[in-house]
Parts: sequence; structure tokens; C-alpha cells
Amino acid sequence: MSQPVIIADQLTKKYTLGKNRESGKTNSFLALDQVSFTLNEGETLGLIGGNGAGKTTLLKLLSRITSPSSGKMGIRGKLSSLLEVGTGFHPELTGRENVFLNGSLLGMSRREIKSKLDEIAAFSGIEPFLDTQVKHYSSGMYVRLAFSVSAHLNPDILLLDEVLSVGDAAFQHKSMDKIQELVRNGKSVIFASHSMTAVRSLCPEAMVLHKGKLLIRTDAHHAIQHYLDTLAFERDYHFQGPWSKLIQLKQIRVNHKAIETLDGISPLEENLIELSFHHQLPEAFRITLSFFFDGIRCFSLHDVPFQETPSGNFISRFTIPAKVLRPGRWVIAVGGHNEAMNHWFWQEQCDVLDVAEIYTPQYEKINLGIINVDAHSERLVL
Amino acid sequence: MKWIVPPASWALPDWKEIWHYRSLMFQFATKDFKVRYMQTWLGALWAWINPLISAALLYFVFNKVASTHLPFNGFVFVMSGMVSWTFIASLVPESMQGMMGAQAMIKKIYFPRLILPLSKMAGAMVETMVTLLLFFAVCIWQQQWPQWQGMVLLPIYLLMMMVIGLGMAMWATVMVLISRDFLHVIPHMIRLGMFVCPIAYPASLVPQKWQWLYFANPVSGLIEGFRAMLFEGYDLHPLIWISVISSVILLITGLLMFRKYEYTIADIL
Repeated sequence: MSQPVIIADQLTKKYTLGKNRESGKTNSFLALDQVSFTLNEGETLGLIGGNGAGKTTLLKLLSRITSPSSGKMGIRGKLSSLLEVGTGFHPELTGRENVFLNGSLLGMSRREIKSKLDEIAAFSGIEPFLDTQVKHYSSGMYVRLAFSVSAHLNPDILLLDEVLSVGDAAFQHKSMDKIQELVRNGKSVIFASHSMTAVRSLCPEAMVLHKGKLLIRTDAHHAIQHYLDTLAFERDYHFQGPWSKLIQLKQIRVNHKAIETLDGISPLEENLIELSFHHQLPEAFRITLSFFFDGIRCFSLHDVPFQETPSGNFISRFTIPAKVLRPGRWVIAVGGHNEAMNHWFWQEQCDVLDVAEIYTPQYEKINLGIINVDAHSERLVL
Repeated sequence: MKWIVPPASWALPDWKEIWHYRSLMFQFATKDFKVRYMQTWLGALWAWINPLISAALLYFVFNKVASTHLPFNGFVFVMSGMVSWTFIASLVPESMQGMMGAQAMIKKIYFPRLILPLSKMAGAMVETMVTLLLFFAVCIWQQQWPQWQGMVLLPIYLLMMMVIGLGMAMWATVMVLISRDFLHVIPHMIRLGMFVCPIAYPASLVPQKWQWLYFANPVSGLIEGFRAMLFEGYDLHPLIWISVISSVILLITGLLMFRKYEYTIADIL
């Protein structure tokens, strides 16, 4: 019988946004609204929801960065959280010095850190740079070191927010393995992510937050479905990334109709997707449109090669050939980046596109799969 | 299971938790030292040069230009005030700027926020030890011998210094958290403090009927107490108890205020 390690009881967090000068009233909003749940020992729980759903607020409350406005929570054991890359890293100090600084930030004693240092360094794979000032590190090196410190702290509970998306694929894989190893050793994990693939592969169960409220907690598959349903209902376009303030997605039109008026598109015909933007981006960029099915990124399209565009409105058009998309719920991600890839904007679950269940003799239901490929096939009778 | 509930309005710090995080305090303090002296030519020598220059300036203005009468060797007298003053004048702005500088960290990681000013205090304390050595060197150079019996009281002096320094640092930080205007106001107040506190003149110079108010400034009592402790014939001012009381009040109210605002730091910074 496993015991609860986290009990949240009607947790509420209210933020004050400052006074309205005219009415003199203080504006406030509920970032988290009476959220109650229990996490048992050894459980891995996914946390999904759009921007502003309250994921980060919940993790901040649990890691005590901020305190609840009402409600209460109980925590058993040592809790460690990794909420953003390189937090608590001082650029002027070396990697080694930062390991000590970070370790003590997370409540470790000097002796404990010393005994773990080799392991941490080996796992992060940046041993040769351990005595280099971290201001010379790349962001990938930052995450590797930060994750290594957190994961080797021996926490009973580990809170992770989106961090793993920064490292390279090999390190992501290694981190996932490490998390799974922690879980096998009876540790509990809460994993917040925009990546449905990551949630699905790591978490048997997930919670969906929406506007501060806990909508549902169930197995990961159903939780993700539920989340995608709210997504289709909401249509809230919000980019993340360094360029997120400089560009807005205004509307998505499919076959000259606004996406919200659509009931489902036909898989048998060519589909035209138009994205209307307003931007003030200072350099050449390209727009990326990615198609996800069941949390798997199936393909990505770019509008043009890197091209400078005068500030203001523009439309990116994409034509999807007929009979490529199979019926079902497709999730589209929209974003873009410059050629150097250091400036970008992105929304992982931007919108959903339902492909209707229409079948013909040439387009059979039995052709199971995610996409159709226009291949030539024949049979040679010998 | 540890239960976390919405914070009470008024509470004193959780010292047990702070003790648990003591290694973090030393990490912060070491980090500050490294960053401060790493790229300088003279390194830690600055801990000596700074108070010497200030003391020389004050000595010149008060005693050479304004010819204030001092009860014993002028330069030693001014330096004896600078020992306490350097501590306060470096700790208060350091703590409040340290809190601003740690915003990113405060928003991402939990640790008792009091650790930040405490680490600044640990750093300032080490520097004060160095300044004390300098002070005794100046005493030897000027042949103004301190009485050795007074040395026994040194720990009490240092304790009072920490009480006052921490109290002031808490208040300065809270004020900055309430309004950023204080980031500009407080440095002026510190500059003013250099003249308001009895660094370059004895407290006895202040008119009799204002003496009580003068000693309501805890730093006055600290500096005067230090002199009475070390130099024979320099009597302890009868109103020094006012300073002791105001020091304790300053620290307790400062801690209460800090604790009240500590919880909102991650939200309002």
C-alpha cells in the first residue's frame, strides 16, 4: 500500500495585477482555483494544459517558491524541482562552483555534494568544461548540468517543467531513462510538458489543468484526448520563445473558411491552410507548420526559405495534397525561426484539425496508418 | 507529512529551517567574495583602502577644516567610528541590491529568503574583521593604545553590530520591495548617515536636550560603545540604553516585516 507524498487540498493562488487607476479597484485573477489531488509514492503524473492553465503556478506552489492564497498542501519527503534552465547558475563562476551552489540551493550539504560530484559530472557529459565559467556554456550544456544536479540529489519527489525540451536528443533520451530509473526506485514525479509524446511515454496518468481549474485526472491517453478537446474549443494562440512578443498569429483559415467554423475537412481533396500573422520581426525568418497525430510529429512544412518581410500583416499558405492526412484528430503546431536558429517562436498545441471519416474504394478504411503515401505498387505474376 | 498553509501575517523566521540551509549561506557569501575581488588588481586590499580613504576624508573635513575638538588622537578616533560604519554602509545596500539581483533565482527555486541578507551579513562580517585588524594597526601607528580589558567585550560589540546591521538591511529590503523609489533614496540616507552618526565627532557635542533623540539612532550607541570599551577615559554615555532598546526593536520589526513580505517576493518582484 503506497502512501501519499503530496496532498493538495483546495489549493488556490490569487495574483494581484495592480490597481485600476480609474475605478480604484484592484484587479486580480485566480491562477489556480481550488485544485485538489493526491500523488502517491512511486507515481509519475503528467501535467498538461495550455499557456496560462496554471501548470507552472501549481509547480511553484508545490516547490514553495510562492505560497498559496488559500487551501493547503502536504508534502512528505525531499522535494526537488527543475523549473527552468540554469536557475541559480552564476555566470561568473565555474561549472564546479555552480554545482556546489546549486546543490546547496536544493538543500544538500557540502559533503553530500562532494560525494555526488563525479557522478553528476559524468552524467552531464561536460567534464572537460567543469572548470570553465558557465557564461561560456551553451544553453544545452546548462540544462545538462542543471538536470544532472537535480536528478542526483536523491529527491523523493521530482517536479519537472518543460526543461528537457532544451537538450539534444541523446541527452533527452538519457534524462528520460534517468527519470524512469528514479521512478523504479520508488520516487514520485510530476512532469509538466507541452510535449504529448513525452507525457505519454513517461506518465501512466495525467492531470489536465484549464484556466486554473483541474479538469480531469485519468490515464494519460484519455487526459490528452480531453486536453485536445478543450484546445479545439478555446483557440487561444500564444507563442513562446524569444520572438514571442514580436509576432502574433491572428487567424487560421482552412479552404478559405475560418477554422472554427469547420466541421472536419475531407481527406480526399487538396486542403489549403492559411495562417494570418501580424509581426515586427527584425530579420529574415521562415514559418513552420507541424502536424501531430497521437502525440507524434508526422511532418513539418516551411512557408518560404528565410525571407525578410516588412512589418505588418502577412499570410503564409500551405497546400496539403489530397489523400495525405488520414481521418482523425490532427494537432497542428505553428512557429518560426531565423536562420541561425537562436531566435524563434512556437506553439506546440496551436490548434486541431479534424479530418472527416470519408472513405472511397481508392481511399479505404483498412489502409491503417497515420498518413497515406502516394506510392506506386504492382504485382508481377511469374 | 509537512503541511503548508497560507502564511500568517506576522511571524518570526523559522530558525530551524535557516540552520538547515546554512551551507547555502556560505555558498552565497563565497560567491560574492569571488565575484567582487576576482577581476581587481588589488583584490581584498580594497577592504582596507575603502575605510582608510573615508576616514581620511572625514578626518580632514571635521578636524582640519572645521577643527572639531576630539578627546583623543583624531585619526584613531575617526577610524574607531569607521569600523562600525563600514559594516552598516556596505551591508544595507548590498542586501537590498542582492535581493533585486536574485530575482531570477527567487522566482525559480525555494530557499528561506532570509538566507540572502544573512549571507551578505556573513560577508560584511569577514570584512569587518579585516577592518578591525586595520584599526588596531592604526592604533599602533598613532600610539593610541586601546585598553586590553575592553577586548573581552568585543563579541558583544560584534553581536550588537549584527543586530543593528541585519535590522537595517531588513527594513531597507522591505522598503525597496514596497517601492523601487527606495533604491534611489537609501544610498542618500546612507551618505547622510555618515554625518548623522558620531563618526568624526563625539556624541557629547550634540545639544543636551536632543541627546535622547540622537541615541535613538542605534548606530550612535554602537560607535560610542565601541570607543568607551577600548579607550580609557572615554566614558560610556548614560543614554546608551536607548540605543540598545532601539536596536532590538529595529531587528524584531525588521524581521517581522521581512517575513511578511518574504512570501510575496516571488509574486511582486
